[in-house]
Amino acid sequence: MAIIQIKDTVKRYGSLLSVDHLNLDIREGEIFGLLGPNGAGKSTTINMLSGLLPIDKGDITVQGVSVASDPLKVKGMLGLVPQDLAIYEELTAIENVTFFARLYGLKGKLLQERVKEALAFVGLSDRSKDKPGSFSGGMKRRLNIACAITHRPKVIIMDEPTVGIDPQSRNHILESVKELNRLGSTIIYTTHYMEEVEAIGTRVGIIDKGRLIACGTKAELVERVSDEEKLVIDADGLTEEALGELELHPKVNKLLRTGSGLELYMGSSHAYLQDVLFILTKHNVKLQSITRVEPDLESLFLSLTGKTLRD
Amino acid sequence: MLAMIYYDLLQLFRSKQIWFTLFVLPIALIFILGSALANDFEGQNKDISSAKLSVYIGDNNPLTEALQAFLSDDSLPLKVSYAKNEAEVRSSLQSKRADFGILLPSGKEAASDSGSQLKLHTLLGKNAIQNIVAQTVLQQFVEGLNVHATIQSLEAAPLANGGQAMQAAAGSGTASEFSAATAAIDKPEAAEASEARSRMEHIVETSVTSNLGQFRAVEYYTAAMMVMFLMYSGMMAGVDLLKEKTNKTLYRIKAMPVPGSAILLAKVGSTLVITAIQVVVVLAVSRIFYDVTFGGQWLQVALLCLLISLFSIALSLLLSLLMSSSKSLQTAFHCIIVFMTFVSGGFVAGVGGVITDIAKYTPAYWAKDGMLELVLQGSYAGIGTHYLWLAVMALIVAAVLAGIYKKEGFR
Repeated sequence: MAIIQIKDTVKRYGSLLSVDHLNLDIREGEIFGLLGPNGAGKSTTINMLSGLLPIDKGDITVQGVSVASDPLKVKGMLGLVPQDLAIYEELTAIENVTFFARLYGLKGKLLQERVKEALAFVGLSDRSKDKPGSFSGGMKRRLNIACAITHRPKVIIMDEPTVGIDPQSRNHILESVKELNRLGSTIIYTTHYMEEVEAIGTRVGIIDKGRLIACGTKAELVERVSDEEKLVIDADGLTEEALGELELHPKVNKLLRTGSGLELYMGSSHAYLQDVLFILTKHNVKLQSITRVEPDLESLFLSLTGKTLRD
Repeated sequence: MLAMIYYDLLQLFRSKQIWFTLFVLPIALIFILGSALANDFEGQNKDISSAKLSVYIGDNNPLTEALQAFLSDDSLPLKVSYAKNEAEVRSSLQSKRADFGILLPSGKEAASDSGSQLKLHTLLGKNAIQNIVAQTVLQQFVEGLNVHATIQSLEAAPLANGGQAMQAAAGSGTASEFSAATAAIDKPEAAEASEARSRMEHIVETSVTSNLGQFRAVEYYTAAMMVMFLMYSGMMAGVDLLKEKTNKTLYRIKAMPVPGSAILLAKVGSTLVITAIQVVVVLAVSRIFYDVTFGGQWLQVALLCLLISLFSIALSLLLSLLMSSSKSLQTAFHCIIVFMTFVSGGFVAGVGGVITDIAKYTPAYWAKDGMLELVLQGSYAGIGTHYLWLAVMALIVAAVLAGIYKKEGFR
């Protein structure tokens, strides 16, 4: 069942079409990874969903409530973790979390409990009375998350929450995301780090130039590029004849010459590995190593857009 | 909204700069300016030393005899020297050899100036206190003549007209050089003209700031500094909002179930709390240490402070919607405050002319003048005008702010 429905949504900035008739359903209880390069329209989509930007055309609903017609109600159901740190340097960690919790309407004993819970969740209980100025980048990121989860929102939107932090903090945040999901929140996670989405996302949407170009589970998406398997061959004595014959093989889609060998892009490479070895042996090529690389989301993105995510 | 106000205040009170700017600086400036410029205000409380008078008397002036007789009185606090011509009087004043000058033109010169009207010109020197001394003594002379003129009026009506005119002219005392019509001797029509002229001089519009002798320097600067620093406090609302924009907390708050208008109102609320504390502190310190009481009309003072604060808060929030950085807002606002404070006489008392005309378009003028009216126990009608102007100015800025916010939001 879709908790969020984005219906034929359009957003323009002057003549620039930032979101182009976007349609997307996000199911309750999933971690939905929204992938796309910079300027693809991810943040604009998030801002429209959060009620921060007016929608030019179409509609977005959260649990059936339209963002356009009742933005405050929708905002109460969401928890936004902004891409940039949005905390007060002059307030302590506990004051930061308490302040934002109060804006979500929490009061009294419940407020105190939830604040403690949120700080414990992100591992900052013992630093709760310190100001963020004394925190590392990763700790500030975790505080940034704590400020968005005290009211136990139905949907948590995390806009590139791991930008610019060390691997240890990144792992902590990714684990936190999975834990929040286990506790019942639907997560929308935007990033341009493919490996993060692959690690935590139950479904992935790939967005480019404001349009959704692919959507599904990782397995479903990878299946679409199953003929994009790659054989990385390191060999001596590669001749033009050998390369010509490999290129003529019906399952080889693309052949790239590298410094000490070649890369072969072909479908079902495991089934046709014998053919490749036969051709190389026939032309007296001395094989050093051969590696089979399975397609991933990066391959899919490359295949769909002709560019990498970080272009 | 209360949470936003509370946490705003928490952050503000943790800033040493805020403490210094809002509480220490105004009190220090009131003390420094009040002490340093006390001489310009408190002439009537000082020991009177003799004023050096430079007098030029032209030929055949009917007042020559009377003036010389008057000035020869040793009991007067005057040291009189007679100049050969008008230029010598002016030169003595310039070089401070004299404190005050009197010009009594020849009968011929006076007649060519204004028909048959005779004039007594006075020239102010550079020492405000000695000016007051000389003017006060000279007024005795003028009043003596009036008595004489009144007696003569029983015999000749034209002389009486001149006497009234002279009295009226002597009563104004706001110009640096004033003329006192002494007598209209020959022609009745000349006497009428003289009377009309005198009335005009008497009806010269005055503001409380031109009557510097009526309140103490510390009272004047308490009012001026209070207004200036309340405007600085108001600026914090806009600066704070822009800082929230810069550190992205505004973005986060806007994604929460909080109406945008509540964010603006919270900024107004927290700034008003700060200004209220500031007003109480400054008034208490100036009451306890400098005995500034504003005539005991504290509620009226509070209302003036509220209105100037609301104007300033609305203006700073308006600028925060139009500008992108808190530094540019601070620079612009600083220029506005300094300009308003200067033209309204907040730095240098007694500015007049065109500058005062310009000042009347600024809320700083009406707020400071209103407070000084309270010091002088001014009429309710007079002070009411100040409230009205301040309220109108604050409402205009607030209306523009509301219009831009409705159209553009926080941008």
